[in-house]
Amino acid sequence: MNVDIVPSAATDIVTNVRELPMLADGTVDEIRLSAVYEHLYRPERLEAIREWHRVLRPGGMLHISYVPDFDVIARAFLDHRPGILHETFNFEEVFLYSHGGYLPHHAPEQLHKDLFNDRSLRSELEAVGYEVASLENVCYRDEPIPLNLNVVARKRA
Amino acid sequence: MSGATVQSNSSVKRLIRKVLGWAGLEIYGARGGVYVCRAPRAGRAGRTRSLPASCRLHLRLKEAEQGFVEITGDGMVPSEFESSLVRLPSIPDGSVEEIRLSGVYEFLFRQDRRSVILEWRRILVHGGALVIRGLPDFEAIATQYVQAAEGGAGGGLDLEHVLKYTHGDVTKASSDQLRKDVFTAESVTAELRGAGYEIASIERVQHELGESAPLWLDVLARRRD
Repeated sequence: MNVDIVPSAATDIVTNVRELPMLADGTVDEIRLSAVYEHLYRPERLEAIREWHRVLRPGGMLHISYVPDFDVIARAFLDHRPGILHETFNFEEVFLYSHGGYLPHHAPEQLHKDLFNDRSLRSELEAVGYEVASLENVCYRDEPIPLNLNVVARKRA
Repeated sequence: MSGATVQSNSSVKRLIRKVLGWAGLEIYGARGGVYVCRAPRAGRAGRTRSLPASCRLHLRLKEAEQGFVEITGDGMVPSEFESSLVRLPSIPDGSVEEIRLSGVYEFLFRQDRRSVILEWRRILVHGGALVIRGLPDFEAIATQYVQAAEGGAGGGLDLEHVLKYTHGDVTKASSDQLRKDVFTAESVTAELRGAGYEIASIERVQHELGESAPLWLDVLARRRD
């Protein structure tokens, strides 16, 4: 099922992703997020991971993809690594990950609202009752540096 | 790709930028797509206030681009009004000696910021000063973070500390309290020069007690003729 706040042909449930009252407790096997996690304000995100935990069955999986890893970003910047869109990984490149490269104009929804690293992700998921099944650095599309984190978390049985 | 193709691609790009520029638009390539948006531009003076020959503005942001404009000047009673900070039609061209910002620059969305520096340039006298204090210096912040993570002699900045500088207050579900961009001495210099200012000084400073290193930039720019 595809859950989105914007109705479209591909949307099955139109709702805010942090409120899923139409889904009963412990009924969902798997939740997959695409470009969601870092776009939520922190209080909303903490609310959402509790709500997703409620609807997952025990042992159910939460897949979170491509969360920018600030540890890798800070090092890529300081080490002048080759950039994605520029010759070196300069402040413009940092902006893409730290603040979401929100273009063209006013786009509060595109803004990245928080910073993450492997430790912060693990600890906030564990705090609400998930166990981390895997946590790895990955490249987004053909980016040369594994700047993002993919997490698979399991609702503790 | 041959050199000739690269050259013809870049001249096509220049042409597209030029045509869009005539229509008041600009084009960006960003991660995952190409975007067209309104180009930054200064506003115009509308029904203007009469101001003394030498006046100074102090700007503070309230929400989004709305804020408070405090006007002080020789022989005038200080006054304050609420306004968009991106468009200041009531302030005449070339009428302000100094614009001082408190928590404005880094809280504006990037496109607004690029418009507003043109608007502030419009209202400044030639050589007039734009004073930006306390802009988070990403280079210093990242350095302190990585050094601390590696157990070196860093300032002990952990992720939550970094976030305080790069994003501000993340405890509220509103973008008003969030810093919207990252800054370095190099990026601020390029942005202000590109908008018609010269950099009189740019310094790394400590603004808060307990900071083990200078993590902020204080910038003094002047309107270039």
